[in-house]
Amino acid sequence: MDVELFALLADTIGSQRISIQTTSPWTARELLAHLARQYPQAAELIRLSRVAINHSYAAPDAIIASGSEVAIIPPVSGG
Amino acid sequence: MDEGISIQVGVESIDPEHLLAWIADPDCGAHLLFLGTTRRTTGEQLTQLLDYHAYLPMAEVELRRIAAAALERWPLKRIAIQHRLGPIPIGQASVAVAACSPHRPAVMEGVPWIMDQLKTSVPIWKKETRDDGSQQWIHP
Repeated sequence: MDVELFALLADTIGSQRISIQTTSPWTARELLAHLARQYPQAAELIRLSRVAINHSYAAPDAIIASGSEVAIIPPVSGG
Repeated sequence: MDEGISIQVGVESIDPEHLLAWIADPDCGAHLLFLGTTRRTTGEQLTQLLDYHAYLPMAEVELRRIAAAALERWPLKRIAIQHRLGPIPIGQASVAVAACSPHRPAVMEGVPWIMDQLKTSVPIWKKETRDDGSQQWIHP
């Protein structure tokens, strides 16, 4: 699955988009846990971030269906 | 489609007259416009520029959801929300919320609520350039 990253999270990981190979669908919580292990330098920020699936915030237990648009939303600062 | 909601997220500068014209409604006795502007001072720090980035189209989806929730919650008739993106010099509007209602309480409660929701959930981020040239993402 492709995962879009933004703002400080994209800068900390060093990319605006990453690809992850999975054998079975993950939940939003599992995706965040995987990213925190993969990118320990961003783990604290990932802990504060939410997963969006197809432009809506996902519950931690939501399953990420294949083909979904997936993004990690770090704490927002609009306004 | 005009269901009483106007959402705009982009690099265009904010024109208060245009927003007020869009919410104008002769059946409303209260029209309220909030402008959020880029501020120079944060404590001792001086800001030179704020650069706004959004996750589009989710930012528009979230703003429309917030506006629809406000229409459910208060007797508002029209809501216009605009968020500017890209580099914005100090002292200019970065966000605007305009709404109208037959009577005053609905806009006086609804517009601040919309701004609180916007700052909590809409995927927009700002990067600050300070007067010493250093840059950092602003995170709450």
